[in-house]
This record gives sequence, structure tokens and C-alpha cells, in this order.
Amino acid sequence: MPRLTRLKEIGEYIYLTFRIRQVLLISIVALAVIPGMFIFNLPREVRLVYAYVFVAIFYISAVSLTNFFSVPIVQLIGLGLYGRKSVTREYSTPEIKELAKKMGISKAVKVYITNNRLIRGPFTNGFTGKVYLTEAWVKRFPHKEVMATLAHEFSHVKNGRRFSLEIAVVMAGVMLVTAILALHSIPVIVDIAGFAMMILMMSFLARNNEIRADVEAARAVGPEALISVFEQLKADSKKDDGSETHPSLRERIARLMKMLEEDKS
Amino acid sequence: MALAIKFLVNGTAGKMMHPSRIAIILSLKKHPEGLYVDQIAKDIAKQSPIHPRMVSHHLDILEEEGLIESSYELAKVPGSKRGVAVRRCVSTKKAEEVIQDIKDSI
Repeated sequence: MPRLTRLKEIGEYIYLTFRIRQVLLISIVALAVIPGMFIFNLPREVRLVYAYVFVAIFYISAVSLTNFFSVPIVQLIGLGLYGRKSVTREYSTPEIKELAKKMGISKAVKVYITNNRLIRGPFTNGFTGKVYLTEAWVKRFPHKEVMATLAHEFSHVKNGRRFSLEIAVVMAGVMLVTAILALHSIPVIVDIAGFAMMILMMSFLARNNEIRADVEAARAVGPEALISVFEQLKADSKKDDGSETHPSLRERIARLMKMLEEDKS
Repeated sequence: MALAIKFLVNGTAGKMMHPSRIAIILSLKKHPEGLYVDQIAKDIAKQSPIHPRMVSHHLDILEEEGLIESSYELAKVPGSKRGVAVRRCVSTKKAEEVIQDIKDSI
């Protein structure tokens, strides 16, 4: 246990905010494009310094990769590992069906409540389109706010294919840029720059997808309940600088508050 | 203490512990005669600004939990002959019990 506490302390000490991680990734791309394309023309010493700086930034920013994939992967592993041990029951009410219909989802959406300990909050399984809520969430938040959360998740179900298509288009773009870069640079620089570009673009799309889900949920059930949920989560969390997949709660609240101000009804 | 566990277990205390909801309850506790939605928003705004629609949302939830009672009445407003429908809210005894029990459990 003390070892775990020590690890946690180290983790907090080396914690990089989302903005810093973004700047590091952008600097990788910038370094790969500007000096990287002229790598063969640089003096040997400069080339060496450049390589060290480039690799160092890459290692530091690799944390973005873990941040990007850790939450969805842990949740999917949680479903697999603890699926049988935990109690998961279907949550279906006429109100939920009505909400799905209101949000323009033609197929039947399956909503489950689980006590799976690896699932921390509501999430949509991107592969199956099933929505999971935790027991603690349903118990803690008032019914209106649970419905607002579901509206947010239903937007992910509705826009699942659109999001996949956006990722595919962006991947094609990144591959094209890396292919052009490959003509002028060495493979390791091209690979790392491609990786950085991929994380940056996927992060942009994922955050955009969250904003879209917030807006669609607010249109379906009103922004008040969602703002209230975010305010509660913000009060509970120590850090609120957002992540590769989600904008900060402060930004999300501000956006929904703007909708509330604009909506005179 | 048993009461605190009761309110923690049934989720009432958790729902009241939202920063805005607790501020609303404390504001209503200061004004036993009751307050309108706009008055609550103005009172809370001294600490942190809150939109009146957010106040209404929190009041609905507090009322569902039996922590406040509200009634609609006509209030005289300058410029309006007929008056304006307002929601007057008062905190209930249950709210006081929950606050006391949260304090005790801490």
C-alpha cells in the first residue's frame, strides 16, 4: 500500500496538464516539418541535438497516448473481466424510449445499470452501441439529471457512425501528410510525427464529439440538468483541465450556459 | 446518527450536497418567510452567480426530495397591473434534519 501511495505521489508530481501535452505534440509536428525536412542538410552536431530533443519530447508526450486510450480501454476491459462478477441489469422505461425517439435514434437503444467497479461513469460501448450507467450514478443524481446524462450518451449512439467516418477521413489525411514528409525526412521522424498528428487530430475529433453530445442533449432535455451534473462533478474533482477525449468541465458548463442565456423560452 | 445514515443511504443527502442546492437551502433557511426564484438567485449571487433557470431546476429537485415546499402566487411588479406569477419557496423541516445529520456525520 505505501508503494502504491508513493507511485501516486510520483504520478501527481510528473502530471502534465492537457495544454502542456498539446503543446508538446504540436512541437513534435513542428520540429518534424521545419528542421526535420532539412535533416540531411544539417551539420552532424545539430542533427544529434535535434534527435535528442525530438525523442525527449516524444517520450514526455507519450503520456497523451495513455490518457487517450486508458479510460475507454479500462471500461471495455472492465466489461470483459468483471462482466460476470458484477450485476448488470437492463434499464428500460417508456421515458427512455421516448427520449431515444426524440433524439432521432431509429433503432432500440439498450441501457444497462451496472455495479462493475471498473466502470466509473456513464459510457457508450462504441462497438455495440449499448449505454452503461453505474448504480452509484443513478442513485446519486436526481432522475432529471440521469435523463440528461442518457441524452448525452444517446447522442454518441446516434453519431457513432459519423464519428467513425470523421476518424477515417482524418487518418487518411494524416497518412497523406506523413507520406509527403517521408519523401524529405528519415523514417523515425516521420513515424513519430505521424503518431503525434494522429493523437492531436483524434483528440480534436473526440473533444468535438463530446461538445456535440452536450449540445444535442441540451436541445433534447434542456441545458439545466446537464449543467447541474457538470457542476457537481467539478465540485468533486481536484483537477479540471480536460483530457484528450473530453473538454474541461468549466468549458462545457460555459458552453451550456451560453445556450441557456440564448434560449429565452 | 441513525438518521444521517438513513439520509446518506437513500441518497437525499447526496442530492442536497450539490454546491448550488446547498446554497439554496441555506438561503431559504435564512429567510423563513420564503423567497421567490429571482430573490434566491440574487441572494446566492453574492457568493457565486447563478441563472434563475438553474435555480428553478434545483428547486424542482429539492421539492421532489421534500427539502423545500413551493407555491405559486401573484406578486405586484412595477409596470404590471395584474401582477406576475411567482414561485415562493420555503425550506422544510426535513432539510434542516438533513443538514444537521450531515454536520453530525462529519
